[in-house]
Amino acid sequence: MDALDRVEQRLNRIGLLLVEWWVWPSLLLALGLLALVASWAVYPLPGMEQLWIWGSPFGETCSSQLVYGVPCHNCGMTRSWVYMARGRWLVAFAYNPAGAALWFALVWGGVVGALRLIRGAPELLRLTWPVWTALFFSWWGLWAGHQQARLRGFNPLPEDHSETHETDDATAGGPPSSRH
Amino acid sequence: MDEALEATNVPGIVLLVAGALNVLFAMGMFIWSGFSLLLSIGGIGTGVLMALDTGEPTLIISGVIGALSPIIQLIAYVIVGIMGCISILGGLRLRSCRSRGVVVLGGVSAPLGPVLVLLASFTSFCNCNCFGTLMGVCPSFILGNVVTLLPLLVGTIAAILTFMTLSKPEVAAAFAENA
Repeated sequence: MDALDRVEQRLNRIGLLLVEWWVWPSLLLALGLLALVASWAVYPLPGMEQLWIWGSPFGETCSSQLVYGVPCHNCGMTRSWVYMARGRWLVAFAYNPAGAALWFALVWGGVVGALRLIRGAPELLRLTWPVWTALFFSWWGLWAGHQQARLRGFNPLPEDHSETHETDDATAGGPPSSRH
Repeated sequence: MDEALEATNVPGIVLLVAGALNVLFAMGMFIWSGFSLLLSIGGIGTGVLMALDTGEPTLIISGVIGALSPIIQLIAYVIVGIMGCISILGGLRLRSCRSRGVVVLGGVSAPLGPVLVLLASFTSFCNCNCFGTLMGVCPSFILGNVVTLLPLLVGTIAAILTFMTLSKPEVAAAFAENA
């Protein structure tokens, strides 16, 4: 029984640490920085759909494309992040609007987290529950809705245009693919 | 105090149910896919060696992650089971307005468990199987998705209810009184 009490006391201490005022802003800042660093580390080269990292190709052919022959909800998401980080927001939005929106939300969250930490104001720019809910369902609608639209031929990925397949084959050295 | 106990009653039960669902989910996933994953563990060494043979850093990383996928998923199920137990304890403590930290941890654990399983499944082919189902391409995986999404949904609702309840002044006062 003592052992269980000790476990509970430890859990209690960990839980209380989670509600310290600086924890949530720090998490927001860390997530924002992670999104920025990740989207900067992966880079595109002119005329190629293939992405690169440290001189090596990054990303594999999407399993949904390989098995079902259609892009999945996340196809184009990595490229949307990569182009968002480089300021080409329209291109990013075309690749995957949900991905672009997610990148923006994470980076904006990082900015808010940093401001809260600097000013010591945990309530700064706080969103209300209805706004959170509306944002979540809007994002989900973008994620699911855009996929459905893409399956019906709207805003296809570059590699899904037949004329770009040859370029893709030649440049990436592999089959035409829908990379994440 | 009575007011606080009344306010924490339903959220406590929801958190308890979410924790129980996570434990059942983890156990179910462990039994459902655990055996096939355990059988594939023998191929991990070969998979890692094949990944190392490619010579490309990114292919090595993705190959090693793919090869280790069975172990990653099994570990994830165990962690989710533990998180479910913490949520159950959090639900019980919320109903008695004691151990605020445990309640917070339980509230955080409730939706994070299924998220962890989803992240672990991204290391294998499961990722696009699930998306295939959502698109109506592959209906045979509907069961797998419901099994994942139900605890996620209940866990999210439990977490929201828990933190909304904890922010009520009478509940905060009751927890402070019992500290």
